[in-house]
Amino acid sequence: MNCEKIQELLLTDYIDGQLDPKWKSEVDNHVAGCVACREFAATARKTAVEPFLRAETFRPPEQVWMNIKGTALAGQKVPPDPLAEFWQRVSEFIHVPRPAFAFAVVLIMAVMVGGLTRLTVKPKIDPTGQIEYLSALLDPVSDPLADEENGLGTSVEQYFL
Amino acid sequence: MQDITDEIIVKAAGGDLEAFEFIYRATSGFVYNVAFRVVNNRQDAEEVTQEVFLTVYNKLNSFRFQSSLKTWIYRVTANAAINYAKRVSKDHKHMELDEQITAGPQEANDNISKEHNEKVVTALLDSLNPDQRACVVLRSIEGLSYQEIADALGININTVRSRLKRARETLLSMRDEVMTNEL
Repeated sequence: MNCEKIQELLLTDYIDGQLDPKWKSEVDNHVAGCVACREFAATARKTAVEPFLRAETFRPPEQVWMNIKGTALAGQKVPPDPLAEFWQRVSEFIHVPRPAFAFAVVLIMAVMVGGLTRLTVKPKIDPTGQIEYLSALLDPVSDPLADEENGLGTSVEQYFL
Repeated sequence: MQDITDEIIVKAAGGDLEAFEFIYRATSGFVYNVAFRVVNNRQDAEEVTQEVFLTVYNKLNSFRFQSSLKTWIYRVTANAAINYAKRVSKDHKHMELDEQITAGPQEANDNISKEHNEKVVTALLDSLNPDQRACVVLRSIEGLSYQEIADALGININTVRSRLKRARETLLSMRDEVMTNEL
């Protein structure tokens, strides 16, 4: 193997301990006899591997778990209430527009108030008999003057005579 | 990772919050770590972690026990973190790169402080694209094998090798830049 291939392995499998023992032995032998590859291996390990081996590890703050828990709890479904569902279906079936409903209520109340008002009003007493007279005038059958002493019985006769 | 039994998984899949919390406590460490290293920002990492565990909570009932739960959660995490990192603007990346490399005390090679090492790690990861970053993090920080990385990312094992190779070539070129700044 030439230096280019060796250095490719030095950057990957060799440096990561992933190399098959047979190939590792071959690389070891080459590196032992090649200054350039030996220096390359040392630099690659120092620059590309060792800083990460010394890297700190971190844990997330507790707030992260609180946020996850809160979201998970919020997403859990609540079992449906059968009674609430029933009323929901009823209200959907009987659909009454609200403005029309309000108008109907007002109308009914007006009629009721009007009816109650008539029942509570008392008829006026007429001392001169005027109402009775006017009623009789409006009645085509009755003759308001039919009961006088000098009358001939009918208003027509009275008129011409 | 604490022992997560199949019984716990089944309970959590059924909506048992206590069982799910057990899974969270056992796995949130590596989830947050991977998320943080891929998105390179704590606030974003918290958001990604929440997204991952809500996905786990909602999709756990479709987990078929064909792979280990850890591999499955790694897959969800890597996908979420990479997608998030790709969505975020990269404009700030180059400014932070210079700050990370040049700031901090000059330490001897054998006595690199934790703080300085963190700055170096951040700068190195910042120089990679999200796909390469995920491979480097899963390999060099999380210690997954090439096959485990391939399973977690849903890619071919040779694609893992290819991404690691390109990522490390970029890191080596970064080293030259660091050396130039320090001199």
